[in-house]
Amino acid sequence: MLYEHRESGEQVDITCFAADPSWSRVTRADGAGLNIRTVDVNANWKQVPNQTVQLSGRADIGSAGES
Amino acid sequence: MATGIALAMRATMLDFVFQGATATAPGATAAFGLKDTDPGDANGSGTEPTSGTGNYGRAATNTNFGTTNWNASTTGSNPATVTNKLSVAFPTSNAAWSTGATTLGFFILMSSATVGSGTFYARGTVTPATAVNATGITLSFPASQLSFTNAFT
Repeated sequence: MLYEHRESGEQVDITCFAADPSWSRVTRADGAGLNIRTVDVNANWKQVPNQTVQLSGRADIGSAGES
Repeated sequence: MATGIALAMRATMLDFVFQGATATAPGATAAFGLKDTDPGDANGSGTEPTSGTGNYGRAATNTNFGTTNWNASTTGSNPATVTNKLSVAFPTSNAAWSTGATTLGFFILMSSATVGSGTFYARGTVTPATAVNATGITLSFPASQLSFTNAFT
């Protein structure tokens, strides 16, 4: 689950280990993280709902854009 | 721009026209992968996320070649363009796909849904280049947002 700090806006991802649910990994947006035995999410944090990012993709064929 | 059809297919298309060679259509299966940097014209560069890491996998629904998934190319104007009929989505992440804020700014069109496998058909740019660094993120190309333009002049 993704959580966002209500004041700073920093986000962390908390993922439960499937092999050992008593452990979780907390990961920052920059990739740094650590494993924690007990995670207590207090009221300073709010859960971020799943998000869909809509993309566009383009390939130019046979033009000056192709390389 | 770092986009286009695969190097091998360019020769096939030219030989079809100038050599009278037989051009065999690709098989029906097509899938999209993502890469962090330009895959190059033979898919020899750039890094695709590891299969299963954060639930990454290629987008293989609504992607196969044929009239069900792809609009007919435009005619009578330049460039001719083909677009996707239906939304093409990657699996929703359940963790980061890559370390840190690495963005995925390129797609590859492949003959296989298996990461690391298949024949390379084409590559293109993805806008916006996006980092999947958390759980619960779904990357999706809505209908008509995947375009292949052919501007042979």
